[in-house]
Amino acid sequence: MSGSLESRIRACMAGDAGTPQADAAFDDLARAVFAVQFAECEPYRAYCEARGITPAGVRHWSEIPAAPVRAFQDLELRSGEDPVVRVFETSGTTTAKRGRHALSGAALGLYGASLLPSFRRHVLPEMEGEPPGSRSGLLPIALTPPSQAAPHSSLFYMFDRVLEAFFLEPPRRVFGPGGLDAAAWRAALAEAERHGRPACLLGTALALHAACEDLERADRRYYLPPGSRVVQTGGTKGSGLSLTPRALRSELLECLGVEPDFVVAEYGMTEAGSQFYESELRDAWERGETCAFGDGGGEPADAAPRSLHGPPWARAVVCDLDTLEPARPGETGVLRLVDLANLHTLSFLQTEDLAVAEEGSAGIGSGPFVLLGRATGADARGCSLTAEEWLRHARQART
Amino acid sequence: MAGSQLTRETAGPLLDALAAGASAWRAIPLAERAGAIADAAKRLRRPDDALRLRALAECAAWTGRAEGMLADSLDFFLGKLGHDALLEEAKRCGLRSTAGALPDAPTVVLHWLAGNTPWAGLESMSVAVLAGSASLVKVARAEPLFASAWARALGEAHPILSDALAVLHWGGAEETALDEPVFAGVETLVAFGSDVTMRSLEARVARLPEARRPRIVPHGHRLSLIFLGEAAWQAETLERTAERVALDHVLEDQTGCLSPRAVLLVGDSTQAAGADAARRFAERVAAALEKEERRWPRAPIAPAEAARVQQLRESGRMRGAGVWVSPGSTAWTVLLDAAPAGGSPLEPAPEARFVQIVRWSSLEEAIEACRPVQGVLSTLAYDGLSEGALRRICEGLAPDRVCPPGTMQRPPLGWNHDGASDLAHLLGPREARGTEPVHDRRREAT
Repeated sequence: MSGSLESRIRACMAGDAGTPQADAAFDDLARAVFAVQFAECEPYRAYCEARGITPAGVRHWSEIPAAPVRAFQDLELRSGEDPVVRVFETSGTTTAKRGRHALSGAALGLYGASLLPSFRRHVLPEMEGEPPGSRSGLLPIALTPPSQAAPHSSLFYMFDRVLEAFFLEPPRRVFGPGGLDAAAWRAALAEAERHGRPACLLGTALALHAACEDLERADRRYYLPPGSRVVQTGGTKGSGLSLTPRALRSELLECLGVEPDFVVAEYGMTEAGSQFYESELRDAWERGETCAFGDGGGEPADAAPRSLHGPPWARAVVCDLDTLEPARPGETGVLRLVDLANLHTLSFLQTEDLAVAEEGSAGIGSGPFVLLGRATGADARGCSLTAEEWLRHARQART
Repeated sequence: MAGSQLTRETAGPLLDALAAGASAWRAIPLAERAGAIADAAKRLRRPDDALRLRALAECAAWTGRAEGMLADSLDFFLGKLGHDALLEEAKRCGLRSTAGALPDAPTVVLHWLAGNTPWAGLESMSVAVLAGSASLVKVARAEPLFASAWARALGEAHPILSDALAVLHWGGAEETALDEPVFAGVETLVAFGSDVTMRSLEARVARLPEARRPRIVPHGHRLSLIFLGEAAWQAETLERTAERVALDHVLEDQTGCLSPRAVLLVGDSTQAAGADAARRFAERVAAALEKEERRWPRAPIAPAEAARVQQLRESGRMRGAGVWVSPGSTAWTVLLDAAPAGGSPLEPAPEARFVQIVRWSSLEEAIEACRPVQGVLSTLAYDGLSEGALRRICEGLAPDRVCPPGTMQRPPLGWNHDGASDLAHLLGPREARGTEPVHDRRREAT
């Protein structure tokens, strides 16, 4: 059953990555996926049955129970009996245990298939429509280690897959086990600048910030050629650093000359196979613009928060915090993902991330959303120990 | 002076005025100082007192907390401040009742309050008054009201005292600009808040020349726990224990350092009868929480906290834990779980009237799972345990205070607040923490 389902999902991935599926088509696929996962993932089935929900009783995909992502800390959540070939783990910054997403060969294959079209659409829009196998001449600069150095990181795996698939040459690696390799970092930037080669930088927010701080300390600045862009992922949760996305874009403009529209944030999670991207770079490309240092003048001070856009085989529903029912567009809630790329694990995920949804053209969850930061409110909480502080004490007690 | 803004221009003269106020105040005999505090407390306990009514209404509106709950806590706090009780506390700290200023009492104390619960700050203010010190109180934006009301009641109880009290707010970008005139003008800084706040204050004080640095009495991160032996949740004790456990979670909306963040049931978890009894106990706690929600609705919580509550509820359901929830809201939650496998440490419950009950068959494993809180454990409530079991818990986790369930948020005057009583903290360096916690034996009968 899952073989033909996978074919249908792959067909969706091969199509237009920018247009959401009509709700009826998505609904049909999602309910079929639910039937498979209900049958093959025992803990998930027990969870659904305890709520009185079975595939026969579901009238619309929005009724399908979403498993909390924290459940990946306690249970192996996957569908089918194929051997596990890869396990991705969460970073464990704010919880004591790590979540584990165990993937079979088929699951990993589908994961790889899902991440390429979204990346191309939002980061390399000029390559859409080019023959399969085409590669970009951008100079890739990776502020992450190779995935072999951290085999449990889904992020490093994702970056390695897009680097292999879309770039003519291997990336300049500027992060090692000890953190930023400042010499390699400046050499890569100098190479791009000297040869007039636009670059594509990929890194986490923390890594990009550290790299910019290196340049600030050295009082250096580079002017990356037009066409350069930055892919940024992750926030600063658990790091103790408070850095807004806008502040990071401002640093990148100051240090590298990359205009804010050419900085693309990506949102993904260890437990999900699909990613969500900001659309500013694609929108700029569609307007015929290229990044040219100093031209754009940066972002207006009152620029609206950016939205994230998903692929046609995923939905992002913002749920009411009291009831977990879908919230109205514009209301703050907690994000639920329905990711059909997770066919071989679990597609229906309740996250802990706060967001505000916009209206979508293809029904519930098909529109973009704005991801909100997690406020800890530590000072308002006063003297009562937070979960993060408990975790710090727990780690110290173990060492 | 209450509710005004502090500036660089006004800080120096204010602190000079407070120092002068302290001189006059400490010349008043100790018994008279205690009398002023007791009179202010008696006044504010009158149900028709206008200052009381306004403070309760404004604080409820500002914080979202149930006015009835605030009134209950206020009355408990005020009820501790009887004339004889205050003199006894002074005597416990080494003073005779005819003495004037207490030895080593600072001239001016800066009370740096947190916003989660006002009562610890008010007690700190009160013992400073008893000691003959003047007080500058910096209120938190999250709860700026009760300290002003208490200062006003004190000031009206004795004409000289009003010159020895100032309650203000300053913060934001201007806060560190005021460090030098403010810190240099006080001898002691009693600080309440997160560990981040404590470290920040220590670093800021350290920037001053040594001779101008105040002594810091930090009250940083703490949490509290409940340990229950099987005798506490058997049929005949079930209802009473459940109500008391619920009350401990409800007061202050579980946001204070005295609020429990886990309930550990210690018994033979391999027995089905024990599992049934634990389940019935959890059901009764849920019923008690719902009753309290109708009496004293919980204040709204931050979206991130609500998201965490939902995540914990659903992940509990997914692994087969017992989960009871408030209908259609995150107002309260009861989660009954088996002990985490593999010796993993317990994660504290969210501060949202979330009762996390975990069953253990081994007391030693339960203690080990709580090991990370050694050093930050404020209060341990216990019931149904032998003296030997309690001793092992105290040796393992070193709580400052032990008490019966239902009284966690009701510490007596002079309680062990991070190593010593508030008055003892004011008078000198913190006493070394011993292994014997202060036991609220007076509460056992209630």
